[in-house]
Amino acid sequence: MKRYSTIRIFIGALEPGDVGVFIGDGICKEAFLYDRPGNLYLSEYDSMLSLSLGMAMCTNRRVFIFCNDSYFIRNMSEIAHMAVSRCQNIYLVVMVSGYYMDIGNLPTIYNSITAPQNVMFNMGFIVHNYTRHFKGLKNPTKEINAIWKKSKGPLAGVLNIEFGLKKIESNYPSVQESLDAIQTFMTNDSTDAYSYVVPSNINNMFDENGEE
Amino acid sequence: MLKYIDFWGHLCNVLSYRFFAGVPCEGLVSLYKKMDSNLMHYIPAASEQIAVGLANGAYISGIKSAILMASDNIEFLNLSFNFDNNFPLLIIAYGEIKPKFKQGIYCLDLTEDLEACLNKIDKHLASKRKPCVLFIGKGLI
Repeated sequence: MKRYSTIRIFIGALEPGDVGVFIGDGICKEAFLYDRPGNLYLSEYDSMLSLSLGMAMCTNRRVFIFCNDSYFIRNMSEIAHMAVSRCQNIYLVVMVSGYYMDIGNLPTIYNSITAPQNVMFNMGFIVHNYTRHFKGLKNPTKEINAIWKKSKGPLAGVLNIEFGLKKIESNYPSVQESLDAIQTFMTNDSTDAYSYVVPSNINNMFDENGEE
Repeated sequence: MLKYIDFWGHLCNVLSYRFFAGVPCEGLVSLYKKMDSNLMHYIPAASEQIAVGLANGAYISGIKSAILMASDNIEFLNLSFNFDNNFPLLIIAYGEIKPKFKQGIYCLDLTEDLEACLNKIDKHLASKRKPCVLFIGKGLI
């Protein structure tokens, strides 16, 4: 499946209270077609993974980060920070093509790394591979949503995408506009954060008599 | 001489700075040792740039944040995100103000009047929404 289709499915799988951070010019263009409150579009800057981690550390909302393999390789030290953070509300989704898809289709070194998923796991992530979901099902939105509902972070989802771009002319908001919108969203109490209670913790909600 | 407890007490309790990130610097070791986990949250970052990212993220979530570092590394810091998008950031640095810093970035030396100094830089951050540097000189605290 191509990147724009996977982004549509991932955005569909987010809950209303979730924050989606899209990093990279091409990803932002494709994601803006399915714009929703809580989307943050970051195009140009470095250290955006640590920005997302800072957001996740100071909120109850789930923070989903979508980036290319090229951005992943470029910011490995920030990935390590995310992995050891023990933030249960941070999810990283890496869309792997093996190429700089937005810049001349030149290859990245991601596929030359021996078992990059193992690297993430050893850092401290729970690692999911979504490639099969997208091969076997036409629209795995519900399945991805169900997986994310039952998963705790720090989670790294990896997905191999097909090579190919669609020409999209969408003017996604500037970083400043996007940041203003997300600050309003984060402090808005009317959209609650999705909170999943881990089954092992449910007992703690009741006292000895079984009353809440 | 100023006391570390007064510094953290005013910054965290009065001005509500709760999130800190930074790369340890020899001059600020004593300041680090007096950190109180009941008052603040501190992340030891792998690099100054990551510390800036973490502090910016905390600010988006509505928590006041600051970074701690040595003044020698400020010139290697990329603050274009903060300047372009009007994002305030308090940088607490050990050392002295160099003339280069003064171009485009608000700098302030910490003086004996601790509260007035911290209030002043906090007001500046709130009004101008740009990064500011608070320099802590040798032997002041």
